[in-house]
Amino acid sequence: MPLVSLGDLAQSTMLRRNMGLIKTQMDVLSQEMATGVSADVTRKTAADLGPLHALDNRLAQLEGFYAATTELELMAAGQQAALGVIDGFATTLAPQLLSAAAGSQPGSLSAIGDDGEQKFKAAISALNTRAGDRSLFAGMATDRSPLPDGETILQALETAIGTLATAEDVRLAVSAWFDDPAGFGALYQGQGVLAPVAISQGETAELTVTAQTDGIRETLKGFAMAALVDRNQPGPALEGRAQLAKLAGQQLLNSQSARSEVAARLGVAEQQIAAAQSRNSAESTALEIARSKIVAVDPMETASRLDEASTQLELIYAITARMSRMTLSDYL
Amino acid sequence: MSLSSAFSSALSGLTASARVAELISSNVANALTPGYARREADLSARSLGGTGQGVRVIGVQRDTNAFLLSERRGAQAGHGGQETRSNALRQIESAIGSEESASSLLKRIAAFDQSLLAAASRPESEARLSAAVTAAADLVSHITQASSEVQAVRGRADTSIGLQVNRLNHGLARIADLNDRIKLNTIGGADTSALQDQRQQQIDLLAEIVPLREVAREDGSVALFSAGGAALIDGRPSTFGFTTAGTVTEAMVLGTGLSGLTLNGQSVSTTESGLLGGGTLAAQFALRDEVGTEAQAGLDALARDLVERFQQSGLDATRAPGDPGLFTDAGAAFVAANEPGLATRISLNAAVDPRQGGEVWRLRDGLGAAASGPTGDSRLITVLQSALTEQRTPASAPFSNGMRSFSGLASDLTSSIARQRLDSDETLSFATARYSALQEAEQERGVDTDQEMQQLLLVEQAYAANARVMQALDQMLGNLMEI
Repeated sequence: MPLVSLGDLAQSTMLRRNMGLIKTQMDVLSQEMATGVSADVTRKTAADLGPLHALDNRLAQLEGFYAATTELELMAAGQQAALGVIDGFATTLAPQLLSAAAGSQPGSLSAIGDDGEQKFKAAISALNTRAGDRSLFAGMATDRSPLPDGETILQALETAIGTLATAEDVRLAVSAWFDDPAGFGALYQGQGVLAPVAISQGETAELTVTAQTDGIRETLKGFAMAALVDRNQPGPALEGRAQLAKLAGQQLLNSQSARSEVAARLGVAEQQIAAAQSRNSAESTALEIARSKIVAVDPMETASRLDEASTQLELIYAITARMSRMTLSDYL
Repeated sequence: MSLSSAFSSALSGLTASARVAELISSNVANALTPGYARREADLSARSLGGTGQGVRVIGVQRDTNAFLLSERRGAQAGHGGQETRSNALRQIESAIGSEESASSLLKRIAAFDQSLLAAASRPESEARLSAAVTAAADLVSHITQASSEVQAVRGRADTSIGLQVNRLNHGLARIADLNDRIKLNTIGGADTSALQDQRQQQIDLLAEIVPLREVAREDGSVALFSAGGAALIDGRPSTFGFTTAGTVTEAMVLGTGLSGLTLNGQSVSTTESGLLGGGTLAAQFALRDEVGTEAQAGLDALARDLVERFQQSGLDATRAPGDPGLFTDAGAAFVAANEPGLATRISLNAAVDPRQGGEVWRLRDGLGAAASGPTGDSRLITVLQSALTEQRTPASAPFSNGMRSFSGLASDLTSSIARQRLDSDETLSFATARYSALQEAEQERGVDTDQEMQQLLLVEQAYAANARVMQALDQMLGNLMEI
């Protein structure tokens, strides 16, 4: 039989199906319009999700590196500040010690000895500073202060060396005590040095300065000798004390280069961290752009497609209304 | 030729008009009934002794097209099967986590990686260590949940097979019953169109489960065969046998714990290319026995890679050789033979998990450490972070060779499932287009009320004309009587 009729159901099914299709399309498009991101990324990338996953993973890692570099930066700055304080003490005390030794006045020697003791204690407390509740100079033992207070150290030192005859003897004994693991080493509460920390892909930074580092220990020797000037070393004789003050001043001057080396090493680490940080943030921005290129939809295109779909839907409504009016029975 | 035979002709015209009007009203009433085939009366001239004696209705025709019907049923089965597969793949994809969701597998891995980096920069921070342990626990629970979702998909497929087999058995019995009634009515010469409509509807209900071929027999009954060639009804209805398993676990496969399908007591293949392939039944079997087990194998291989990365010797000096690493096989060390089902058993080492009585500082000081070590020691955490990201060749089969980081491996797994889902979606949209096109073609041949109204006009005219003839005959007879 040739097709002279068209079933009523066929027409309504066709209209219903098209209406459903357009409505689904509008739903997807309006979601994309609102979020700016493709509603089905899998389809947009043809299921080749590898690059996108790699980007996401890298972005998360960079966030981790950001936390690491920020903290390292803080710690390095804290260490640099403490070193600056100690270096300041040493550079002001050294000439004073030398001039007091040259003057050889009991009053000024006592005063300089007192000053030496204060500077020693202040240097120790600078080494015991914490930044963000993290001990700066204790190596891996970040939970405790590396050293006891200055007075305890001085007393331990005095007990260890006893009373000596000459200023040179005192210098040797002080130096030996600070280098001795059973002497100053036994008072040191820290442990090892901090392990390298990853600051960007394949790059690590390490902050290895502790209270046991050479430059710091050499400086502490000078302060300790200065403190001993007012603690009856080597005996009450004025000449010996003046000699000790002179040796202390020389020790502080001589340790200058070791201190600078420590500061320079820290400076290099700080610079490395800052470079890594700026590199990481540049990379992060670049990756964000690359990611949005993969998942984002063009708002212009989406808007025009949405417009198209709504026009289409209006047309379907119009046709549905027109068609439903077109029936022979109305004319009979 | 006599006036009385003219009367009889006019009467037959009136009867035929009434019969046609009855069919038209039935057609109009069923204009919106799916599966209703338009009726048309077959008219023929009645002849008596070689001369015309009016009209008679010789039969009622159901206006069907066997080709369209069988094509539509095939498309219906294909569409149903594809839809089943597509939905299940979508469920598996979302269990693993598609790209858009906030809690995808990849995002869990990235969070774990990031938390390890952050913990390495401040190993003394309890909060950082806890965050890393929590991220590890989240990763573990994501894998186990994805695995149980895969098993749930298999379980639902198993239940659905049971229901479909039931529907098939009942449907076939009803069709056989209708066949018998149609045969009897045909012998008795009664109109069987309504019964045929019912039978067609019953067959349509089953057409989605298995693609069907209908073969008409001379006595008015039909035989049904599956597209693959199995006889479902040929005189007698066939019966299918299947036992639902209830709960499906990863250890259960076809033959061990899961039932196959029997046809009249004989076991039959359940694959797409088998006798019953092509519809939702075979699709559910494919989900249960192929897609589901493949997804599980992928997850198991992923879990194995994760466990092995952290179980390497030399990673953590405090851990005795043979002890489990950060991730364990239900608390014990992983052995290569135990890979199947690992994704459901993988768990976080109790030594670091506070919820299992562990201490988070063991992440920093070693799984076997008796007491907390120096708080600033980041060495182990750094080693763990590089164990997660180092390029490594996965040990198990589902992944092709080649070195990958753990997130690279997870990305491959996610992409492969996304790929399957996308392919299946595309096939589904073709199947849907074909099915709806055929459905529309079938409906185009359905009832058109305009056409029926037009015919009704004709019937009205014919009725009026016949009545006029009768009136004229009556007058003629009256004239005779007046003589």
